[in-house]
Amino acid sequence: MADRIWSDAEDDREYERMCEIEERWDTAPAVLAAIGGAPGASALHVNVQGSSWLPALSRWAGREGGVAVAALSDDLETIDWVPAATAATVRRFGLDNVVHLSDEEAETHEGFDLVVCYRVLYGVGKEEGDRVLNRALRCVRPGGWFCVVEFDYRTWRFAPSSEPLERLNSLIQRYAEPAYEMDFTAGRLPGLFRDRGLALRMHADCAALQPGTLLQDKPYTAAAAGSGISDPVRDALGGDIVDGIRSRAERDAFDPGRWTLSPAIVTAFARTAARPAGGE
Amino acid sequence: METIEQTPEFLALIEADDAAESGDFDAIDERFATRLAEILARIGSGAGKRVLVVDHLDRFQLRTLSRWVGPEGGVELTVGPAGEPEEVDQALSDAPSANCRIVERASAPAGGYDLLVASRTLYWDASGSPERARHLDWLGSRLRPGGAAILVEFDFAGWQFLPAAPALEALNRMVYDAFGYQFSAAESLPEALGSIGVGCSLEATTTVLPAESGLGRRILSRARAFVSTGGFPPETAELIAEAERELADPDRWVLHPTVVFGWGTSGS
Repeated sequence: MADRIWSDAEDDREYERMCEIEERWDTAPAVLAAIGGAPGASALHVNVQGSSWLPALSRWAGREGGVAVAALSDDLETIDWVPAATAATVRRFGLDNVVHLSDEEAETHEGFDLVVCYRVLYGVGKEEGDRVLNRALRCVRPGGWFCVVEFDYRTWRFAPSSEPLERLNSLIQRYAEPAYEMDFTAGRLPGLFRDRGLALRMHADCAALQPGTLLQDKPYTAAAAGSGISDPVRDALGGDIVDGIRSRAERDAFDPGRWTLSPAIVTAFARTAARPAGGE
Repeated sequence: METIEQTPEFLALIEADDAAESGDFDAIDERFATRLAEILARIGSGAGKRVLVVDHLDRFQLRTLSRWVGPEGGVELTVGPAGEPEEVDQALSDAPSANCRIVERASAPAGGYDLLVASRTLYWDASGSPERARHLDWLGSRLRPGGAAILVEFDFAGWQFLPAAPALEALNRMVYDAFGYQFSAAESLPEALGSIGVGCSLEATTTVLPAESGLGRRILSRARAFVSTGGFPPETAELIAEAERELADPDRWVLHPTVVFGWGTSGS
């Protein structure tokens, strides 16, 4: 991918490697088949990561329909990179019915037939997650579909197994969750739909990723000093202990014979009420 | 915790529970058969091929194999290292087909098969154990040069509740320990395929169901069976009661253990 999305080349490389995974790890067609075909339909994709959903949404909407991408975020970095990532995906797949919209344009749209929130909860606390979902839900037309996609990192494993890589994963999840209000599971999804009066359906799948993907070495790189996400582990256990596990994990992280069992990709989706409660 | 002996009384209890829940697993089995069909398509045409199935496959996967080989081919079922002949009989009676039949293990010819399919046969014995090595030696020797193999195993770390359910998860750990099987056998698929001279590709899948489905209830049925036959101490009842409350939450779902298909072709 020649397109520059981030200001840092290393971040661009990581983004590209994530795209490579998402192409092999695609649950969008199954969920869209369950929702049903809708030539001429409109869809809003909130947040964008790689290429998992946009090509499938583009096909789902068809030439008569269209797909918009918006950040629905107040985070300046997100506002900056979502249009760049959208443009890169559009070029990569030759999508002719996908456009980026500002948050204001998305939120003043007449209402989308389908809104997909892609990994908008993973890195945010409950309050921020609620806020983003509420903004997204207001973008769905009455009787349209609302869809939230999250990963569940508890199922992330290796074949052959790797004690040090799995230990690093476990430690990062255990300490980063409370420190940064992150959620490495998809466990919030049922309650979030219940709280909004939505009768959800669920879909889950996963993939075996061949050796050399981002998710094989990610526990090793994420545990490096200064990575940010491993800081709470280092604060709790001491850097020497983390570096010791990292050292044992290095060979496994780049082992050309080791496969990765991906985190589960969980999608909750529901049709919204035909008209707003109490509305005319 | 040490492995607990599975008494006839215990086995009767869990068989009764499994029979009551069997319908809950049809949708899961059908989905996994779809993944098997995708792998078979990548292996190539199965017309006229001879397949050996070791241990029982569900009827959806058996039908998939039957269609793949067509009327000129044959699917032969035999018992695995820890399997029961009755289970193989049941698999065939669930999906009878003119091109499927049962063979005695001793009658399965060496080098006689174009495709081996072994479902959850590594689960019984530890990696590196003589029992597993013997099983793999026998399995590999049934394959003709250039033939293919598909080994299917689970990774039980994928069996997770949404939201998390601490009592159910604690009970599940007790049940794992009590059975003592290889609940992460999927991780050894690359090694197992290599040991029979087959290249390694992996495919993985899962699904999600309401926690109250058979998939969620199975943890409780196993734990109750161990309590009622004396394997678990009576005080486990408190944990079971808490797990029942978790299971009854209509907003709780459960992820299926990760199902991993390891497959490849041997050198010709």
